[in-house]
Amino acid sequence: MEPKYIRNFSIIAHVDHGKSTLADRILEYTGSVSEREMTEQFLDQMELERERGITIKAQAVRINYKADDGITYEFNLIDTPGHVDFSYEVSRSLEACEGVLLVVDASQGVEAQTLAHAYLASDSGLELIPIINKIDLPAADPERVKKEIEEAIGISAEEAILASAKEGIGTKDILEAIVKKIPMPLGSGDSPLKALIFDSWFDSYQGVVMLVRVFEGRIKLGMKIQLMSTGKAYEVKKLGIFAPRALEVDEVSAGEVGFVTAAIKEISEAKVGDTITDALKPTDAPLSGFRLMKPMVFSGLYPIDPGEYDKLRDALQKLRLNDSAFIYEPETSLALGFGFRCGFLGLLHMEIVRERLEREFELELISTAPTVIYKVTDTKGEEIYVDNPSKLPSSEKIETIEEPYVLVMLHTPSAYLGAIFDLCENRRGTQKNIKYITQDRVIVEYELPLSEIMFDFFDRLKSVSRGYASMDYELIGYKTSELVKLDVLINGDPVDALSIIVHKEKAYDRGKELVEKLRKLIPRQLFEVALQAAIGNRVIARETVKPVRKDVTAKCYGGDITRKRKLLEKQKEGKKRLKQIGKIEIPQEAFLAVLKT
Amino acid sequence: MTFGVYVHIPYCVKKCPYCDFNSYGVGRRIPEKEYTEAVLREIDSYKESIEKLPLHSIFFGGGTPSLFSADSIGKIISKILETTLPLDSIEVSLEVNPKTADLEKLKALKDVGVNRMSVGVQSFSERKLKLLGRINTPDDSRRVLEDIIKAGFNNFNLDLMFGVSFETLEEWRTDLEKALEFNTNHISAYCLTIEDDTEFGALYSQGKLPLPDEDALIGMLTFTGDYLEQAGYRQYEISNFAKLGHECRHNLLYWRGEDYLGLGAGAHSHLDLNERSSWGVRWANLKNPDLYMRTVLEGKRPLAFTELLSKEEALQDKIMMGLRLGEGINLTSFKERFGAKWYSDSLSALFKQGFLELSDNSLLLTKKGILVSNELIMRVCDSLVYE
Repeated sequence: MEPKYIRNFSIIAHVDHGKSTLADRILEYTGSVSEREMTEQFLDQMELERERGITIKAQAVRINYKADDGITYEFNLIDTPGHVDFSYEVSRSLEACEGVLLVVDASQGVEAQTLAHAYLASDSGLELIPIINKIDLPAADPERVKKEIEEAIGISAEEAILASAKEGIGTKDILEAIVKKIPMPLGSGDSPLKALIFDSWFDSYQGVVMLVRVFEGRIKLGMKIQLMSTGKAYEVKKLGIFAPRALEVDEVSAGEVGFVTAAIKEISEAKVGDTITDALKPTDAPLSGFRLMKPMVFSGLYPIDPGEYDKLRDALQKLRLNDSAFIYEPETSLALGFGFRCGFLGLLHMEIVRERLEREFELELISTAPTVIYKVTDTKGEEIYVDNPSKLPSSEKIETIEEPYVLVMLHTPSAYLGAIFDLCENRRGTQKNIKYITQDRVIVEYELPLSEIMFDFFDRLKSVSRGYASMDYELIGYKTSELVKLDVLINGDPVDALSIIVHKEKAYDRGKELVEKLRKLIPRQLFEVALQAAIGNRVIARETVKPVRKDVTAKCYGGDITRKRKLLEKQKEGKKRLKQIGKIEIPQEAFLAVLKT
Repeated sequence: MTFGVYVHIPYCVKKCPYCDFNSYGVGRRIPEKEYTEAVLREIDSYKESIEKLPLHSIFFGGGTPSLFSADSIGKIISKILETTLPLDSIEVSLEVNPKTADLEKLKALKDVGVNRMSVGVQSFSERKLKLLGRINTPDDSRRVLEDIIKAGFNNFNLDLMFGVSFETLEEWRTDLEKALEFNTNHISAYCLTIEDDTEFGALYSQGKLPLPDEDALIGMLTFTGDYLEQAGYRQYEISNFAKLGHECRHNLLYWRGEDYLGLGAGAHSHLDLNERSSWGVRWANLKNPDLYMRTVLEGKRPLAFTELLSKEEALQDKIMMGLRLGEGINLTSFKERFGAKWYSDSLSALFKQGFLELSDNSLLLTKKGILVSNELIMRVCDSLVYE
């Protein structure tokens, strides 16, 4: 296809603003998928994604559209992930496009995450087509939303398309706008190959499958390609497009999007953002912006049944095949036994991995409280990275501790500003910027320690703003903080898996809260359980779990034993999800209690 | 191996609000004749299987078996005796509600072969009896106990209950003291248990049934054991106390996992008549008395369910019941039967903390352990290893 008939675009939208539904309508309208084939939200493949209603893996679909001018265009719709944990993947997907459809909910208006992605698109020089979706809903206020788009994003919303993806309103207008407004791709089919990997996954038959956008030259079946970050070369085994089902082709040329397999065995060899070139006639410079995705959040995963360690290891290995951003290594906890320290992009990523392990691999797991990675300089001047609170050196050996900071962009109706200030100040935040978009929509920027936003910040934000505020964040580097390790002792013994690193000023309150919470979470045992929170050798709070003192069945009547046996079995079932630590049985919630404030 | 026969009489004058047994308040309209006939027919139906089995006890439970005439009870006893191989001295117990028996009837019951009475006294306090919804008064109980002695029974049990609303240790102590005045050789002392499908269960779940707190109940439980022990009784089962040699032989069958045949509506049996499972067979009769009678009189087995026990179930049953006994579980015979032993590491803490003890090669609960017996039974089951 000649580049002037190609349009590459993606859809930017806040979670729930209707991105997947819009994609479905486009597929339907252009006849790419028949109505019969149409399962709702065609592009969200994995079962888990469908359940959560979010798109984790980017996808690219080729669509043929016969426009009003009588010409058939080739559209490549590149789907992007929709959550803050995956913003790098979003940026790579955008890099593969010339334009985006900016979907904004007609009643909710512009949200922080949409804004962040819209800026990203506009910085990359992409054409933005604003679409105001869900106009069929009673609360829709397109005029207000138009104003917001103009003031917040700085683009004209005059020609914004009013749509309802659910009802199929506006679909044709959107398709025509794609043809007319989104520029054709540049680049020549005759230059040396330069292609961007914007997604990759592992398939047990094909090896790694890469989704690529060709910028210069062409990829042909059987050619030798090279990945520029590693210098490794491979032969192209399979080439194709999704239309939307996989369709094999011989060539993908400048301006086009397709998939490539090349007998690559590990996902880590084909990283998102890397540039593919011709091994024999390489291009002079890779595409810019390649970045290794580094895990930001760490947590220990342990099997409840120690006998399932090998099963867990195999499962992690399999998951890793498909998820290069996730890392793991074996670790041992005095309390929990053998397990793994795992690194994730963010909390959502962590939850998804954990859920997949439990669901697809039928494992029962205990996860320890997630933590960030701390940079510790010891008294000898050596720098070490600590991803597990129990590994923090003792205080006299520490010169400084640094922790990762993020710049958080909060987008809120002004009515909730006060509550949001309180929340951020409470989390050791420093206000950096505040900007009124309209009279009652505000963008606030705060610098916050990553650890403070990790767990329930988002939930708290939603709750103090009645669901109206939204957020996005980016990592800005390490800063020195006054941090200490808070230990929890159960019957006098420290439980390494319950240690956390907290700010010195908050340590006392956190310690108190923590043991109080543990007291409520730990079921009564046959003996008294003493809970203590300590910094170094100093105990700062204590609580007691009173023992079970009476649990006796008075009567076993007339030889009816079956009923009694059922009672016993019920009692046993209740114990299943408990992890035995020494003599004490502790439920999963206890390990996460350390983070909730 | 000997066995016992249990006969269930499911009728009461009035159903007590805490009771979840298979019993029905029917006033005085009791189908005694038909029911007796059905039980006799049921015995006949087992004739071939039990005629060579040595019998060591019969127990009439309910409901209120004392609502039946001595004549009917006598017919059932004779039938059982002629259908089995009774040992020389068998125990024949019958449960009595004090409101439903006079001296004449007691004498008649003795004449037809009953030799042990179990009296549902529950309390000598008017307040407690009212709360429990009992039809008997303290005076009824005193009179029936005196009549039992007059009629010549020297083996009888008093059922007592504690833990009712606002009960204090003092009130309970008075009950025990009064019970001892009758010089009985057996006392059953039950803590009131709230069962789901009862009137009390409904009240309790609505928060309308205040009960003594845990500390008070522990106080009463502990006191019961200490007090009766001083008075010369042994706690041979969690809720049962007897002078040496006067333990209820029939109830011991249940707790020791031995064989019994249950007759009547809803009665449970544990007996492997056709050697169908090496780990034992349990079955239960239909609960509804009318359905039970109709089925039996049609010449069919009134079965509600049968289960062939697996080794695990047999093991669990053994532990569940055996640990209720003062004698505990004999380790040698346990190992011989099941080929399993306890993984001592996981139990060692429980020994150290004084919940379990080993005595005479038997595993048993300590006094402290009895209070949390459900928890311990579960842990002991969990700590088994097989060889």
